[in-house]
Amino acid sequence: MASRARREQPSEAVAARVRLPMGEPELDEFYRRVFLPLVRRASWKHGLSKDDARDIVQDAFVVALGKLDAAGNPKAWLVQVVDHLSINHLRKVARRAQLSARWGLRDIESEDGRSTPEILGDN
Amino acid sequence: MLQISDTSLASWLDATSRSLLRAGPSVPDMLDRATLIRGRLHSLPEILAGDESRADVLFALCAVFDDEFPCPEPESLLQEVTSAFQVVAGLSWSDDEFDERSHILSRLAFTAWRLCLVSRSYAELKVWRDRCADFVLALDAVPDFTAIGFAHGSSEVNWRFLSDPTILLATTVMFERKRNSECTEVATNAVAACDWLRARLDDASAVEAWFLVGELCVSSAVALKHLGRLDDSAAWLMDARTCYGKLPKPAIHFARSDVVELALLNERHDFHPILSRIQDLKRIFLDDGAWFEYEATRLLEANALKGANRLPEAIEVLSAMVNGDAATTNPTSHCLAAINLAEMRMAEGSYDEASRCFASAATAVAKVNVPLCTAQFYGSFAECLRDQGLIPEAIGAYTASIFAFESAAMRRNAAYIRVLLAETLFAVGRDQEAVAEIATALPTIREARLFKEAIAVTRMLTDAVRRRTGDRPALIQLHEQLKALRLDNND
Repeated sequence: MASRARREQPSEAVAARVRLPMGEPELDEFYRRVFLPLVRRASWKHGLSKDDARDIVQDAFVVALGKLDAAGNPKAWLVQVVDHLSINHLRKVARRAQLSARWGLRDIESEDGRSTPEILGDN
Repeated sequence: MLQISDTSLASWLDATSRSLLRAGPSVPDMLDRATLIRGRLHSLPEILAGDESRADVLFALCAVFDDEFPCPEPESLLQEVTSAFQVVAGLSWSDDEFDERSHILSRLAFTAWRLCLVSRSYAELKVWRDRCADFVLALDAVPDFTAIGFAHGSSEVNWRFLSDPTILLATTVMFERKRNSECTEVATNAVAACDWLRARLDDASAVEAWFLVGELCVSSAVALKHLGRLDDSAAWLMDARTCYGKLPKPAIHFARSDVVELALLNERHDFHPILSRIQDLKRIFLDDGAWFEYEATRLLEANALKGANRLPEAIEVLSAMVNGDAATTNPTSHCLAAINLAEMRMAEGSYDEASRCFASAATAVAKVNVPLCTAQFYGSFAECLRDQGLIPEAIGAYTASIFAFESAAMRRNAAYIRVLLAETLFAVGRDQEAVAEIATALPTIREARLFKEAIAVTRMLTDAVRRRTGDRPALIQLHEQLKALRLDNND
């Protein structure tokens, strides 16, 4: 994930908040009306932590750049990219957990994450 | 509405590339908050007024409700979920670019549906099911997905959408709504969706998932019945029963699949088993308040009574439907009842009454806009016109009926109407056209083994050969083919 290297530790999240530059209302509006809703989707629909969700959404924007069809439905397309990346991320986490279990390693990266809810998975 | 474009994305990425963005409140914090406000749901609008984290709190509330499953006290949780749904539905929601309000409401409706599945009537279950489906099907991405069709979508795309249980539920509803009008599409895609889901379930899977497989099986069965694939349809109904058998209260769902099974018997002209079972089914639906299913069952009863030549009783049931609440509880069944009643009134010579029924049926047909109803209407109307000697008008109506049946891929019904049309054409000496109709219908008659129709056609052709009219070699060839078909049946 392109932006994962920049990710702060959860304990630092509050302290390290960086606001968007004020005086740029368009960016502020984009943050509230596009970025945060997509972060919420990745987080609440796919069970990702907010930090992972933020990285996923930024990655989705990178993927979408140059490919958005303004005449089509760019929002629906962005949502699908976020869903796709979220599912891929979950697969990666599951694979990592499998490998960690096999070798008896402690998986420190997923310790802050929330487990994925599986509504249809159990009775 | 905010526009998202390459320019806005580029500006955003440029401005944020060196920033560590806030991702909003953390999930654990929101779950704690949702748990706290759970006991004060009626004050939610005041609690959340002007709160930037409102959407997070409400998503968290959905997650808190989900965490209650398996639920030992479904009634109290259902009350809570109902309250939450009402409150969220009443909240004003500006700048909702990504339909978060619909997402939250669909999740709450889904939770209520899950609870109703184990503790409430089918009628209540349907109310929550429809609420969930209406919100989900209005979301931007879902219609794009359903338009692809499961049979044509990649496994990856199917997984991305169907792993969301609200979309899965909405999909089953979509198939149920389409199965009488777009049966080819439903027969292909409901079967594919059913296979996809069933391959991912085992005995430990949730009853909700098995129920949804059952629903997909029934929609597949109904669509296949319309397409004339009666044996395949019966097989899907058996599968539906197996799935419904995993529910804590399966009786109403068994009854729903039984109605489709009896409709198959009706197609096979096997009326007595229908009449011996139908009263039990009506009582089950009546007790449950399942009015839609009750009216569909009454229509089936009337058809079986008519088929068994118990005409006064059939007229009684149809009259009760036409003059009762069926127009609101099940408009399609009401429409078909009005058509059948008109046809029967005409057959008994009550022309004024028949005209009134046809006028009422015409209004109902236009209102429901279901190809099956349109086709039935024209077919019945053609019969009446023919009986009154209005042959050119009757031929036009038969043709319209065939067109409507074929546009819905109901080839079996279309073949039946073609036989009636051929009979009319023979009657006015237009033998070549009649032969052409029979030749068109013959593959379906053979494939669907429509023996009554085959016998009727053989008689018509025998008469035509005797009269030595039309294209004699073509007549003889068709006659031989039909005789062979009848011999197959006797074997």
